Amino acid sequence: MLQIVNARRFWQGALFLGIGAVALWQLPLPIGRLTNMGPGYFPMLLGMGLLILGASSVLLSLGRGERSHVERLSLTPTFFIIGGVIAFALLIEPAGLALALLVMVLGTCHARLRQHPIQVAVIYVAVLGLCWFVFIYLTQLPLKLFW
Amino acid sequence: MLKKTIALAVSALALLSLAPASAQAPYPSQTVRIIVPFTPGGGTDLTARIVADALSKSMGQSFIIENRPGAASQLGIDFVARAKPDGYTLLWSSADGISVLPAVKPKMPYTIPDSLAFVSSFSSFPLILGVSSALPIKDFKEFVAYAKANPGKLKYSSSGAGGGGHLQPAYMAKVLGLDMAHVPFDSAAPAVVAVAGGHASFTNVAPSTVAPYVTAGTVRAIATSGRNRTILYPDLPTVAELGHPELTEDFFYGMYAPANTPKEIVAKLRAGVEAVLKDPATPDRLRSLGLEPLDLGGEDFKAFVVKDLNRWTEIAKAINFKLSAD
Amino acid sequence: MELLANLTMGFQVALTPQNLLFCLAGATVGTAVGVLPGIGPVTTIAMLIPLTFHMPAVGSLIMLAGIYYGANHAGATTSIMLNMPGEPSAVVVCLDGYPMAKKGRAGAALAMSAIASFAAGCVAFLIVASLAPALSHLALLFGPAEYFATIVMALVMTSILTDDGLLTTLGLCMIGLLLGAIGTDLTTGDSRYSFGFTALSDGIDFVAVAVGLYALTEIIEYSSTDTVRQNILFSFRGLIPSRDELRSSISPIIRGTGIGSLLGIFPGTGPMLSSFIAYAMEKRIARDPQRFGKGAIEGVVGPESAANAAAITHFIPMLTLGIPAGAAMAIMLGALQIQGIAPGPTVMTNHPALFWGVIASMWIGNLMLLVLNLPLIGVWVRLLGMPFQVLYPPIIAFSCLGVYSIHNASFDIYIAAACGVLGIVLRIMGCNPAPLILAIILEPMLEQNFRRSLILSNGDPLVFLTNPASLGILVFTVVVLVYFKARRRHVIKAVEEPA
Repeated sequence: MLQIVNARRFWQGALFLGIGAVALWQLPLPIGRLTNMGPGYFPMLLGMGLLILGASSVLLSLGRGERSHVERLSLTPTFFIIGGVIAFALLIEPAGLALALLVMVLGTCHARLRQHPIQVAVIYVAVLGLCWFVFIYLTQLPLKLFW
Repeated sequence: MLKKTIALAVSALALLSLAPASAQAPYPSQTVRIIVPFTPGGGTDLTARIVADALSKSMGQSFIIENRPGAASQLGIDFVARAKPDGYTLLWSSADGISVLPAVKPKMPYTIPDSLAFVSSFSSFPLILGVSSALPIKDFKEFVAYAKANPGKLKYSSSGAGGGGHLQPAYMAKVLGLDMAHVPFDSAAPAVVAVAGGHASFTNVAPSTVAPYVTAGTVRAIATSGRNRTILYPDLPTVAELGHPELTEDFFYGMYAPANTPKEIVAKLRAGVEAVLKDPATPDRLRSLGLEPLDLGGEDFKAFVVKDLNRWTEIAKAINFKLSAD
Repeated sequence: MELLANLTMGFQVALTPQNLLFCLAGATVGTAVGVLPGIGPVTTIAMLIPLTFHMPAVGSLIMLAGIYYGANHAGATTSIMLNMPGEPSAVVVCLDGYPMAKKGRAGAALAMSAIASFAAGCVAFLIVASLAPALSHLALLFGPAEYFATIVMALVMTSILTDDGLLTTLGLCMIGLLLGAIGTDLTTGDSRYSFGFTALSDGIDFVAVAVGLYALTEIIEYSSTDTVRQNILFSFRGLIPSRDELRSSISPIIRGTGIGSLLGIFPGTGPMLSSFIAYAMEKRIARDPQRFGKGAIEGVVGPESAANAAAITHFIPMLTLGIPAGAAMAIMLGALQIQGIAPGPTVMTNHPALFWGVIASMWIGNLMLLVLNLPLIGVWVRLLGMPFQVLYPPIIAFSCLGVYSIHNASFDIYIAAACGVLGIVLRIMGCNPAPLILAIILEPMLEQNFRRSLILSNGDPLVFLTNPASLGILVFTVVVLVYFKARRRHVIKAVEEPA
């Protein structure tokens, strides 16, 4: 019986198919002609190309034999680090650098446990100082330190 | 870390020299941001930096440039239109997003003139019609004759779709009854390079952009869109002199504030820009960029912009030009 | 000899204490900018423009040029240390530089990349000095069809960059091209794939993608493994390249310099394209391509020398014709114009002191960068010796603020976060993100030149084959690809059948 032998290849194919489908589904219009291409022409070519590549990948991943697996990563750190970054983005304009950084450092440090609170505090103060100096004092980004 | 510290210190010194100590004054009492809706390095950005530098000195408060490019300058202008009208967020823009884009784009987030307070104009410039010297075209008459004899053969490059460099030749094609195709580039420099290399036939760009190629002989300047001849090429005829006054167009740079900014602040800023224009060093700097001073304030500036906007709206209607909607 | 006389004059100008100081300032600021994520040379040069109003023209150009090539020089530092490219030209340096660092050879990789940059800088300087006027006209040669062919070559060659196979790399390229297509369509002004976000109308920025795909992904991966990462040990011996590493670097540096010097002349291509064509070439001709991606010194010095050579010859079109080869050059041209100097062919004759002074300063600047960077290596490696969980909050913070500074908007940070998730997905599938990020950067050039070519040819798709230069480039691409694939099969066979 045919089954997924090469899991990496299968999931790659699935990714290509998925993105190709979204590209074609959300295709910007009009497509236009060869002499006067619209905004949709080039993305259309790319979407179709991805569908072809994705389908080939999926077909090639099938076969007989033992199934290989993809790498597994724990989801918690992804959640905390991406979450920390998003929180930073949300807070930076309304709440200022100090608070946004605090939330981010807490979030990202939480992703890797076994960090001493004092170490986290030291990291926070050092990062805040450096960021203030480089980005607010030197490059004059339009940011507030506090709300 | 020592070397890094030195590096930072050097840039710190460089930046500090731009921001003189603040003095006690009612306005401006804090740093003023000038939004430039284009990437650094273009004419809009350079003129903005000249003025910001001078205003920082004369007003005793630092005026910093913030580049917010995107969507043919629409994003940056929209940002200012929505900003708090307290005089601390200003706009420095070219004609593109103020009087050209609103004429051709059906859905705009801001309206001209209502969304902005008009502070001061600064300078104007024409577009130079430059033809590839690979083509047997020496003057405007030959240009028209060539285009008529070879319909569909001439391709014009522009600094971007929907800008002045696109509409000007599109209108010219309509007025003269010519058949030509548009090849858009993302800024003026590559558009001229394409003409200089003979890949495109002609382009309409600002005098300072075309100047090196005219000197090198790879591009032939055959007309200027300005009301008057340009200082860079005093021998170059204007389109009006060539019998087409309807093609006359001067583009401009100027300063704006969000609508409802207090009148005193607008007046103070206008006085500041006026002083920059009166500074004896300014005309030379502008001239080397191929720009002419344009000294209009408040209502005069507003009337000027509205007139320009109406003209582009009529042109867009005449040539049935529309950028498709979002 | 005229060249000698000109160069003597140039060095007299560049060696005045004032100009030396400007050169040093440019090189140091450039180094800082190259190391910091987010703040690029373009922004920095733009910020310093008002300062140049009060400086002599030669001095200001010397300083601004120093920032430009200094940033290129230092862009590889973070690639090697943190697997995070600081500049687009440093993307491929990650492929082998970071594995070298993991093996404890970070010092050697950094030292060799500094030496390679310097060597390439010297050669490129000689080329600029002796051939600039003759080469300048090449810049006009490339029209839309030629650019299209060159970019296709570059994209197809990404399949040589990594060992993921043609199917995977082509797929990643196409995803990258689609991501690159996000934003305002240049021709019609329509917004594409913006999903209702106005902020997307300007497209996705390289810095945001690099932070997401590289920095965030690396940190997440580190945090999800249970073992404490082996800290890279600091040892003095690790700083010095071994005799072997030196010997095997010589030819790649020469080849890289050649590629970079040539491609740098064409506006728009420049350092990034030449760096990864140099990488693909090294891998193509290596006796044992299997070593690449695992810390091959050739994969570091080849692209580094190419990038730096291109950064220097990039000045040829600007100095001789007034053609800005990129955004940074465009700003420098503006600075010149404000000083009342009309850029173009007349600069050489009307302002010889400026022309030759700037050229001479490039060599001096490269020497300064070498002197500046070699002692810094010790600092960098010591920094790497710190526990990673102490290092990563500042890396994230700097990256986020750097990303914020692109448009002064939070939106770009969300893009970086999204790219971080994409990076993790790719990591789980075992794909190298290099083809994707290169495609994102190249998309606008590829698509616009495709469309322009077809407008110019009145819709004839054969234009890419009837145009001799583009035909040549495309044929070359196919030959290289077929040859490489055949060779790889041959090599794999040879490995599988040991005596």
